[in-house]
Amino acid sequence: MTRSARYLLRRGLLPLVMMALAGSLGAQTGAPSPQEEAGRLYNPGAVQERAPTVDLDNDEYIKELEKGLRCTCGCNLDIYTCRTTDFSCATSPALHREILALHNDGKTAQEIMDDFVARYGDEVLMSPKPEGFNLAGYLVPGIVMLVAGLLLTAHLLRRRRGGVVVPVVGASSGEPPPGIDASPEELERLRQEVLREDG
Amino acid sequence: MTLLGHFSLWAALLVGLWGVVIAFSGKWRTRPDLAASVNRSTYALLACLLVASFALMVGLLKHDFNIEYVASYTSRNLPEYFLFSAFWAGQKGSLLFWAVVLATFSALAQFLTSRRYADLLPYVAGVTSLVTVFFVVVMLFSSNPFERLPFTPPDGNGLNPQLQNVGMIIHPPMLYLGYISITIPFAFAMAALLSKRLDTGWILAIRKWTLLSWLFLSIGITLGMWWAYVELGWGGYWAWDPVENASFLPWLTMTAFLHSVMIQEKRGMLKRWNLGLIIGTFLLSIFGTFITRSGVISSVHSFTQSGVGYYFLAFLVVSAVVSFALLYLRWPLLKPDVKLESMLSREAAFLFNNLALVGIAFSVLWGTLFPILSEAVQGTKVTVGPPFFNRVNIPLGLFLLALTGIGPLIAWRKASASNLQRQFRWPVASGLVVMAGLLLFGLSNFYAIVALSLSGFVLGTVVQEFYRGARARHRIHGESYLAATYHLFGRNRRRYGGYIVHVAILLYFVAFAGAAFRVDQEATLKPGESAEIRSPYGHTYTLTHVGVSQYEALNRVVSVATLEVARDGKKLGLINSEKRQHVDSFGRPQFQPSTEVGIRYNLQEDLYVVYAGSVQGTEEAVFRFTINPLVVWLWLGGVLLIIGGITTMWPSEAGAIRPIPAAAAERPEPVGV
Repeated sequence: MTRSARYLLRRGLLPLVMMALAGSLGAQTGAPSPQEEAGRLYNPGAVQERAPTVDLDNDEYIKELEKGLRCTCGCNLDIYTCRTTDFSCATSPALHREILALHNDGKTAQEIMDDFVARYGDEVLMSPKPEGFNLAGYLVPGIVMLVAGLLLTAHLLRRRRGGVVVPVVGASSGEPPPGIDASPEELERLRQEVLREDG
Repeated sequence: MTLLGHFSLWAALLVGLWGVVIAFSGKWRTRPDLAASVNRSTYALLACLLVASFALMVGLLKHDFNIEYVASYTSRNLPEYFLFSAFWAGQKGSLLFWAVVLATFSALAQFLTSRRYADLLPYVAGVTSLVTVFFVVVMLFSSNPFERLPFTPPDGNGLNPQLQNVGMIIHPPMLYLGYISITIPFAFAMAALLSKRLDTGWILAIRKWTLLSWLFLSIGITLGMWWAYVELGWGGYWAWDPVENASFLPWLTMTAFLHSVMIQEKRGMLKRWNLGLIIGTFLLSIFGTFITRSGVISSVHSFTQSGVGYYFLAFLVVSAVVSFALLYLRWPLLKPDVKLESMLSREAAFLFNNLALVGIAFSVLWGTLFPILSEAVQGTKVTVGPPFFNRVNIPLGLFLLALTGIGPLIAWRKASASNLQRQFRWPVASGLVVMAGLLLFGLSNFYAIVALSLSGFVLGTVVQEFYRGARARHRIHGESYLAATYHLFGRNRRRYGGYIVHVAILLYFVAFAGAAFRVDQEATLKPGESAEIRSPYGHTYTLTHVGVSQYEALNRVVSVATLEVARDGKKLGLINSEKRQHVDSFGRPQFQPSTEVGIRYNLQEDLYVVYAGSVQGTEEAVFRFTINPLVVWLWLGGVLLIIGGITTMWPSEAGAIRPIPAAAAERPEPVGV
């Protein structure tokens, strides 16, 4: 008998381990099939209560629709993101059920959105309708960028025409520019290296 | 301890006011003792605020629930390391944290800045003390962390479970450090304007500070994304929430400044623009604080809202008026030394880079404020969410990504056609190869193809720059290519560190492109049941519910749902997702149960599992499975960005910026030598 087994026996742990193994074997042979009732949790209150998933929960059409509508719980998220984020909001699942009910009534996406706007106001849309003053929301950034770009280009071109031409000192004379501590030979070697690099 | 805290705050107010009055009175110009006094007042201010911070920390660690702040954000059974993070978890503590960090930076600026800028330092001290005094005033008159309750509750409310995450220990302080350190460059800019010393000296004095500030903001934002991803359970990392936008705005303008300042250093241009950017960045950092704390715009970060927002609004308005008025007064002194010679030059590329960055900042600001504007103009509240921001910012972001590659390759002053051909041949080819590969694999999302192709182009530019630099050193010094590459960093850390940052940014874009292919699926499973989810790469994951186990930890009841994962039939192992019901020290439930997601990641994709809840209190569990392609590149980009940022800041004898001699026309920067 090894030292570790003797130790386990002394501590009374080996019988416990053997009992646990036997128990787990028994549990495997008598394991419930998926169709049977799932076991009850020891502390059910520690977990959110959820309704079982239905096919429409995974419907891309419904998901996209919900991504365009805001949850009214005040979280600033769309309904889909809110109801699948941390699962602590009670409002977004209720809104999801409303959408499913409207969808099952045969309403189109636009009709569902209109229904939500009628009940909760324009704020329920994740992006404002492109009409009236809201157009400013969409157009102003682009217009500002465009105008700024044109002004910048015009400004640069004007400056370039009236720009100061700085003489290129020593570029071809072989003389080093002021402040560069290098002999003409060193400069020539550098020039050859640069030319070689240019290929 | 609260008495000590109160006393320290009042002392800080008096000391700060002394520094402000002396600094702006200008009497120190003729009296060196007063100049020294202004300098010392920053250290005294720091000492006062350190004592106040110590007093609050003792209150937190000793569970002094008679202090309203301690009772609101901690409980007896809160793990000790979260007692430290509770310091900045709430409004009042975070104000003190802000003030003490700003005082630390102010003292460091006084201590570390070369005496060459001695005539700027009293003004710098005046500005930093003024901002610190503002925070002390807000604490003393509106949001005092040492406020006492009329009774002592037996236990505190505990910390929001979503804040009980290691990301929340690091993410808020990093963002605060970024926001706060912006004050130092701003103070130098104000000092330069006040003293009329408007050469490039002040810019050289703040070079490290601007990089540090940018780095802290970058780390803070990336950690915030990581925290949102691993903690909130929605499978994303950026929601264009107003508070997220508020942190992004100063980052954008600071990034613009880091580029445009090079033009001022090298060519003596853009002096007015750079001052405007620094002022704008500081104002945006205050604006961010206003947005976060005022509740004027609804946000998921509503736990920080209170009435102090309007103090910040007033401070923002006054700061903006004074700063821009000062800039206007000094306008004639800020003429450029030289003028732009060509539209095909690095200066012009950097200008368009600035245009894109400031344009994105404007559109984000516009979208963030549009609900308020709409309510004021048409009396209707509207929501401006991700669809708006994505529509406006994705094209601008891609334009910026293209400029990330174009900018470093164009010569200063004027580029010729041969220069352009020589510089862009291989990078453009690499971008086209990536595009062809993506099309060959059947990718059809336009923005994803453009983003990934441009990433290939930018990577091509960086690889080419390193290769040419190493080749030049190899030829001139006879070094091996490996040694030559290593020495490139020694010669010009700022340049090559900058290239590493560019690679980090392109990795971010790779991850963003991956988001276009995200797949979500919900399933309800009893133990033994399985669900399948198909990856955009074509393989299928099978997730089999093993069961739910529960156990009690220090301050929570944990429910763990375990799933067995198989990919195309091959078993990969187990994955766990948890629900945590936090309890107080009497075992009573606090807050809603929070989620801990299970993530199995590789370079291709993340398999992201969320245990949403149980059906009728049984082991029958509702799950959300998400496949997030390429997310891991975001975190790798974050790590690379830190490496690149630190590289650029590392002292380098050859890294000093030298003016471009005229002979450098039509050539890119010399490489390697």
